[in-house]
Amino acid sequence: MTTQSPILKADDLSKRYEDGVLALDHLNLDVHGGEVYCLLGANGAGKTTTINLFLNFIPPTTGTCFITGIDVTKDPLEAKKYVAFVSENVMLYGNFTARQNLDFFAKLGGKPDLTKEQYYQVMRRVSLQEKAFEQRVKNFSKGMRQKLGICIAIIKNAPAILLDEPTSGLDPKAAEEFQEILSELRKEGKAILMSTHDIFRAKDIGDRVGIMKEGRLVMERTREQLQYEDLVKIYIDYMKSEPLTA
Amino acid sequence: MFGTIFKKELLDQILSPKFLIISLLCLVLIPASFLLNSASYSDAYREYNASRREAKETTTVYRTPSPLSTFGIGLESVLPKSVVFSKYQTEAKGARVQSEVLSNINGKLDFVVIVGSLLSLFAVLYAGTMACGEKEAGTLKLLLANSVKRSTVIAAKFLGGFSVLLLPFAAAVLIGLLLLLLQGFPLFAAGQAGRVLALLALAVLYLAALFSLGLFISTRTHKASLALLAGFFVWIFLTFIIPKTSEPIAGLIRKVQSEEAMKANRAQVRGQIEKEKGRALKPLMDKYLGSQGAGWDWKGYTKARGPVAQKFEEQLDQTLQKFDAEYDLKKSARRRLSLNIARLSPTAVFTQAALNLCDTGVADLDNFDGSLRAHRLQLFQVVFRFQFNDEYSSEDGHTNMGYSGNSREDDKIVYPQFRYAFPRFEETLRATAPDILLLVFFNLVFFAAAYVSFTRYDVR
Repeated sequence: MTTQSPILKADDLSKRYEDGVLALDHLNLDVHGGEVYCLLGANGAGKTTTINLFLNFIPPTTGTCFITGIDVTKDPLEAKKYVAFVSENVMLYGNFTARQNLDFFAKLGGKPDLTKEQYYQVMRRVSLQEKAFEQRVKNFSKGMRQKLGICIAIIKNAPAILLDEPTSGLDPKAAEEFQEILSELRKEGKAILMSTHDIFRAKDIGDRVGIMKEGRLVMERTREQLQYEDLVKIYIDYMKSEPLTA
Repeated sequence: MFGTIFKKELLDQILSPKFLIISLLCLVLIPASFLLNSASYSDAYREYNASRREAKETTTVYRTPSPLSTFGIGLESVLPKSVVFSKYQTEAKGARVQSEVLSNINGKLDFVVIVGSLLSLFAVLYAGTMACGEKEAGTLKLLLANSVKRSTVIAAKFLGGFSVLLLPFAAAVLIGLLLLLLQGFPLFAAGQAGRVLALLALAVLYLAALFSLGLFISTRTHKASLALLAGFFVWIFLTFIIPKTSEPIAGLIRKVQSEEAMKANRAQVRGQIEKEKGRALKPLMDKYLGSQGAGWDWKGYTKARGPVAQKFEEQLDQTLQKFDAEYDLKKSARRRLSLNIARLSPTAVFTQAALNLCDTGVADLDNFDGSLRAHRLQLFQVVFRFQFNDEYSSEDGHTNMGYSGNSREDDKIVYPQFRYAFPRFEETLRATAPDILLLVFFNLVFFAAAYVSFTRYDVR
C-alpha cells in the first residue's frame, strides 16, 4: 500500500435520510492512486450512498468526503474535476452517436479539443466494435453502453474513478473485458472505488475489499490477506450474522 | 459549459420525434389559420363597405372589421356589424354569432388560439420531461457527476429546449406572413406591422412562461409519465378552468341584474314618465287635435307641446341616462373583476393582451361602446331631440290618444359622422402594458421556481 495521501477519502461519513433510515454509519475509508477498492454488501448496505456522497448528489449528515484532498461538500465543483463516474446502468443520450456522446461528456469533463480519431482510439481501447462508433446509442446493448461509460471516464482522465456496480447484468465476456480495462486504469495510477455484488470479481480485481452491512464497514481485507482467506465464506458469514445494533 | 449543454439540448431535442410533431403542427396550422381568417376578414370588409354604400346617411352605424382579426378573432364575431339608434335605445345587429354557429360552438382556430391553447400544451409537456426524463434515463446523474453548476444546467435546458420549440414556430409564422403578403394582406398598413411584431413577442413571452412552468413541474417529479400527467392537469387548469370560471365567479361576487330585467325596469320607468307627460299634454291634445278645440291644428300642437313636454323629456332622458350609466358601471365592475380573476392564468393574460393587439379584445369592445355613446349624444342633438311620441291613456282605458311627430322646423338634417377608429398602437401598448408585465412576472416566478427546485433536485 502506498504512503501517499489518499485520492478518495471518507472521514467519519454518515448519512441519515429524511425518513430516518441510517444509510451510512461513520464510514472511514480511503483509496490511493493505483488502487482498486471494492465495496461488497447486500442491497441497502450503503454502497451506493457512499458513491452518491462522493459525487455530492446528497449531503452527508456528518463527516466529510475528500477527493484529492478537496472537501466535496464545501467545493463540489472543484472536487468533481478530479473524479469520473460509471453507473450500474450507463444511460447515454440515445439520439446521439457513441462519438457524439463522448464529445459531449469530454467537453463537460474539460477536454474540449479532442479529435474524432482520439475518440475512436478510446473506443478501440475498450474494444467497442468499430461500426458502433457512429451509431446512435439507443440500440446499444448494456455491455456496449458500459464500455462507452468507461470511455467517458478514460477521456476525463480524472485521478479518481467511482464505479457503481458496473458489471451487474453484463455477460461473462463483457465483464471480463471490463475488468481488464480497470486493471489498465489502475496501472495508470487511478484510484478506483467500485461497489459490487460480485464477490469473485471483487477478489480478482480489488487491492482491498470492504464488506458493508447496514451502513457500516464491517470488514476490510487486502489482496494479500485474501490469498489465505475465503472471501465468499467471510461475506456469507457477515450477511448471516445478527443485525447490528445502533 | 453553458454552450456545451445548450448545444446538446438543442441537438437532442431536434433529433427527437417530439420536434417532428410540433414542426408539422406549426407548419400546417399557423399558415392555414392566417389564410382562412384573412379570407374571412376580406369578406367582412367587403360586406362592411357594401352596407355603408347602401346606407348613406341614417341613424345606423357600421363597425369596421379589424384586419388583425386574421391573427385573433376574439370578439370580432360577437360584436355587431351595425347598430341602429332610436331615441331611447340602441339595437345591435348582424353579429356573426348566428351565421357562424359551429365556429362559435367549437371556438375558432386562429393564431391566438393556436398559441394560447395548443402550443402552450406542447410547451408544458415538452419542458415537463426535461429534468425528470433525464433523471429517469440516467443521464442526469452522469451529467452532474461533472464539474457543472446546476444553475448552468437548468438555464441551458431552458434556452436549448425553448429554442427548439421556437424554431418551428418562427418558421411557420414566417411562411404564414409571406403567404398573407402574397395575398395582398395589408401587413404594412399603419401600425399593423408593429402590432403583429408585438403579438409575436407576446406569444414568445407567454410560451416561455409555460415552458418554465413545465420545467418547474419536471423538477418536482421523478418520472416522465407523472410529469406529463401533472403538466396536463396544470395546463387544463390554466387554460380552461380559470378563464372559463372567472366570469361566473365574478357574477357571484358582484351581482348584476340581467340585460332583460334591466330592459324591463327601464321600460317601466320610461312608461311612468311617458304616462305623466301624456296626462300633462292631454289638454293640449284636446285643444289642438281633438273635438273640443278648433279642429286639427298640428302645427299649433307641435308648438304648444314644447314647453310642457320639455320638462318630462328632460327628466326621461336624464333618468334613462342615469339608469344606463349605473347599469354600465355595475357591468363594467363585474367585467373588470372577472378579467382580473382570469389574470391568475397566464393563458388568460396572453389572450386578453393578444386580442387587444388584434383590435378584437375587451379594449376594442370598450372603444366601440365609447364611440357608440358619443355618436348617440350627437344624434340626440341633431335628430332625436326633435322627435316626439305623445301618448295618453285614461285611467279606465276607454280613451287612448297617441301622436308622433317632429318638432324640427326644417327638414335638413345633417347626420353626424360615426367616428370609430381603432386605437393607435401606442395607446394599445399602454393599455396592454399591465398584461405584458404580468407575463414577465409569470416568467420570472416560474423560472425562479424551476431554478430553485432543480438546485435541490434529487438526482439519485
